[in-house]
Amino acid sequence: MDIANLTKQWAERMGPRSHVVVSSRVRQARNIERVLFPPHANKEDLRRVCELVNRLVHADATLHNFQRIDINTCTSLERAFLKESHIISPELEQAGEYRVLYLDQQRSCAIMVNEEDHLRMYCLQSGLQLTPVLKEINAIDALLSRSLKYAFSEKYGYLTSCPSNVGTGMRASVMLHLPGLAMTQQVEEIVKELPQRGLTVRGYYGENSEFLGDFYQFSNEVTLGKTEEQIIESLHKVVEQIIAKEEAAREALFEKKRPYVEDVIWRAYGLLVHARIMASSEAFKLLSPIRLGIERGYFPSFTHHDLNRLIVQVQPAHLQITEGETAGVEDRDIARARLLRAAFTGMDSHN
Amino acid sequence: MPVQKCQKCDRPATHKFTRIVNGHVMDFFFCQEHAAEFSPLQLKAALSQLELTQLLAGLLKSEQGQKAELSEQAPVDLKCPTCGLWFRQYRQTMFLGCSDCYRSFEKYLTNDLRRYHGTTRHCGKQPGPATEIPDREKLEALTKRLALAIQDEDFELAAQLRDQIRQLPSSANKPQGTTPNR
Repeated sequence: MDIANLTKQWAERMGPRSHVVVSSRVRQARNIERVLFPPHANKEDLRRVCELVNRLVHADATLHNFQRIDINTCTSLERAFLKESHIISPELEQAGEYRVLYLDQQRSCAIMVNEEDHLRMYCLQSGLQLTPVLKEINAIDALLSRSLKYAFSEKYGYLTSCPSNVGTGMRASVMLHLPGLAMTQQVEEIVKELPQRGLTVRGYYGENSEFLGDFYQFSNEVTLGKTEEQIIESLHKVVEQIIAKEEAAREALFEKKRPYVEDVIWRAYGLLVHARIMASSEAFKLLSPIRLGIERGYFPSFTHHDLNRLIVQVQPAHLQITEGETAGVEDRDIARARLLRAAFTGMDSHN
Repeated sequence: MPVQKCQKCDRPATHKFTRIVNGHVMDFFFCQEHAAEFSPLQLKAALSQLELTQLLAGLLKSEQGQKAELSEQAPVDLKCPTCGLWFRQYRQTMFLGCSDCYRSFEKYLTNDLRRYHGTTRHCGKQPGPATEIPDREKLEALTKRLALAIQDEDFELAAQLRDQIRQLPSSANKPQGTTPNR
């Protein structure tokens, strides 16, 4: 399998509101009736689930185009690559027997088998596209539910191994780039208001992951007692409000503190063009103001999706695959600096 | 997944707060009692009281054999007859064993569900093909759920269902065959 070619479509395309919104994702968790949930299942249970899903995927006209990847046969480097591309979750990266990924040809939809629940399917698109993404994932769910008998109760909805996901089993997330709110120290204020709206904020790779380069993932915490559409609607509403605040913060910064913001942008550019060694955390930190500069027209030959792609490419496993498995941390840092220099040197810029 | 313990005492955590501190996402876990004390204004005080290094490391891993206090007075021998999972095991991992656990532990899960979701009743979609459900059928299903919500005294959900019913076109109440496409 050529893992290195599995670049995600979300990083290659531009979606609506891309000056702030990187991507929109919806995932739904499902379990199969009368089979123990994965955290407590034995190998035979897990094998059975794999077999049921495999048979169904092969028989279905739409699903049989999905590529099957046995997570257990992937090297740890390949699994890390898939996680960095947001193709698999950090949980699935841990591997184990009978963990399988089905990935569609556009690399935007996938079904993860035997993660925390038997099935976790998701769809991810660039920009703010929650409703189309929900529609796509609903279509996949409908295909699967034709042949699989889901664990479902009238009262509690789709039954999941952790009760925090029960009901719709749905987690909708939007990845936002908020340099304006970060520079004006308003992010914390926004985060404080999220719980009362049934929402939360997560890091770059989801739950319990750290924030990198002013990227924040906003998602619903509550999965029970609301319809899928209501969850999407309330997240969408909050995201629109955050976008408006981010736009206002950017306006205010460029109006009142232009030299300061420009200094941040051009210092980042200077380091990206000249540095010889660069850690991934530093790259994230520097690419954030560049993304802001793209929106303000400082780099006319660069688009937001060029930046999205670079952010994926500079991550450790991506560089390791390019540089070879024997490359150490220092080799990667040198390769990262080289890649960024190549991307930014000679770039058309309005300095 | 190890059980999260309250950061101020040894009891299992029942509340999670997410805050951003110096640009880092930080999760704070508290029991019922200490959650009540925790507020954004007390964040600084809470931080100084806690082992900051432990916090940043992802903190408070459960140690085997530690006493796990079972909340809501669940009997120690409570077990799911289908999968054999003890309720106390669920408390330790927060993962249920099978779909029947929801029934077996229902009485004690209700509080968890309220804490996570603020309600205990599903009102989203049901398994089945993604065909457009006629408004009339939607109305019937919503009315049925509304009655159940009122019966359960879940008035927050009842209000949501009432709003959904109001959003349906008035034609949903007319005889079948006259429903226009939405």
